[in-house]
Amino acid sequence: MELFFETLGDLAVTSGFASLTWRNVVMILVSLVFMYLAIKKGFEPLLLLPIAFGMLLTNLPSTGMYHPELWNIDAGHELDFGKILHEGGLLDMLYLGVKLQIYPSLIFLGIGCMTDFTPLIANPKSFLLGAAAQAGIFLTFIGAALLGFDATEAGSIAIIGGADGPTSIYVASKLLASGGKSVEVGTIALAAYTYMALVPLIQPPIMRRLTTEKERRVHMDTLRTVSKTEKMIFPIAVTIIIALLVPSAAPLVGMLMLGNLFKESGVVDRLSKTAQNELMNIITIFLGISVGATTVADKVISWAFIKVMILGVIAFSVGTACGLLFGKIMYVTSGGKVNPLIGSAGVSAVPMAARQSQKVGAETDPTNFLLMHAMGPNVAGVIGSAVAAGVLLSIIQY
Amino acid sequence: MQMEWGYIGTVVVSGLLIVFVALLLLIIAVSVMGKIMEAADAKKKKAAAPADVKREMPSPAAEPVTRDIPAPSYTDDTEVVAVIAAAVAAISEETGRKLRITGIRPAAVQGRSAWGAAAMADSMRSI
Repeated sequence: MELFFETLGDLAVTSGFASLTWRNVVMILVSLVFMYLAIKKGFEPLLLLPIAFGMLLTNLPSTGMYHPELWNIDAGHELDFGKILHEGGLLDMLYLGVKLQIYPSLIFLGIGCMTDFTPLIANPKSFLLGAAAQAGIFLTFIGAALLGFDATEAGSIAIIGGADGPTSIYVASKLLASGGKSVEVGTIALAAYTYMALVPLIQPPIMRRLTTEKERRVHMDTLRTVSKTEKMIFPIAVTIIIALLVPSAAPLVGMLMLGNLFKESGVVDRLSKTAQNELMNIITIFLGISVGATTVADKVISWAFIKVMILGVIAFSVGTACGLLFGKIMYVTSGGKVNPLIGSAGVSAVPMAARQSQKVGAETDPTNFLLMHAMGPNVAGVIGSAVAAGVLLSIIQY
Repeated sequence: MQMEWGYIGTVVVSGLLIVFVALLLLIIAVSVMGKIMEAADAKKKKAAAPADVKREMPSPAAEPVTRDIPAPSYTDDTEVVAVIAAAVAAISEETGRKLRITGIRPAAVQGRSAWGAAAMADSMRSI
């Protein structure tokens, strides 16, 4: 009998209830909120649901699924992979793919298979709008610096303005590799995906404010036909040019273009289908749940998290505004042929940002079909944000 | 550690500059590629035109004309199909009714782009 009670006592002491703190409870509730947003409100469910569940799992104490101490290393030191493999839990093993930059690159492979660059090839000037929208990244860097973040933290927060989840995770996992940071990869990913889902709320008011009715009414000329050969040469040319100019952007841009070449070549249909379906789904599960696991209570319940969320919305808004303002410049220089609304689509949230250009344009003139024209800057933004990511990784010492 | 303004300025200015230069290079490369392809296509069409004129004259009774939205050629006009599917999905979302496209049938529409043909079909349906 004594043994029975002793065993029960041991079980009670080692149970999660014994180590549950108020921070864990708050994070569990936050994870439930994000699950509600993902399931009921449809906020980027493919990523937000696994991220939210990873957040739940990591904040349930004593599960041994994720060990932050294995990943927080001092600057100048290397990760102890032997220790990670020996002492790590399930989520530590899955997180290896994030740390080794495998998952974001493979996600980009799938994205490349699903992306049609035709509107961009037909109107290459859209690249300028994709570049202009990335100003949101660099201007947010200034904001993060003013709020007291160091260069690596500021760079990780600024990349949220690229409106690209895998790019944000790629940059944050590199810049935040050494320990002692006030933000985590999970925080950055959470902010990025939340604001990507809020694009339909964030962008339209800015678009209406910064453009006149006359500008919104502009009907753009039909895009020229793009040949199959051009569509095949495009990914090869982009890879060569960007990899030579910004080598640190090569993993993301290279995989994006490889996926696109799979699609456009037409001779590797099986690979293209696998990359955009099975592979993408598997990587999305692993990426989401392991990134969510980094949102441990100590790191998230802090002023730094609130600053990240505020800077995130500023980054999105500034990116949208910069794209629109550049669109207005192109409207003037083209003699009124370019509708400035497509500028806001330079933010790389594909295809939501392009849909907002169509929606706001159609509010003024229902016969105005801007969607395909806006897709050009939208997909240019994907390339632009990957280049910006490479630039941040090249300039900032980590 | 608080960053110095010089460092912040360097990151921002050089970052923006490199992004713009990279994408400008891509504009030049894609524009040049487009011009070469257009010139090559024009040459091909010029060489093929006299031999193909008779063959391409449409026979009035050859194919039935329908009021359906014309199916675009797969290589270049898949955007029309994607736009139609996106519009149907958007309507489904807004109204809560589950809608789906059950078929897209080819119609004989020659000498007109897919956008023009879709606009024409839309106008005809609204009469």
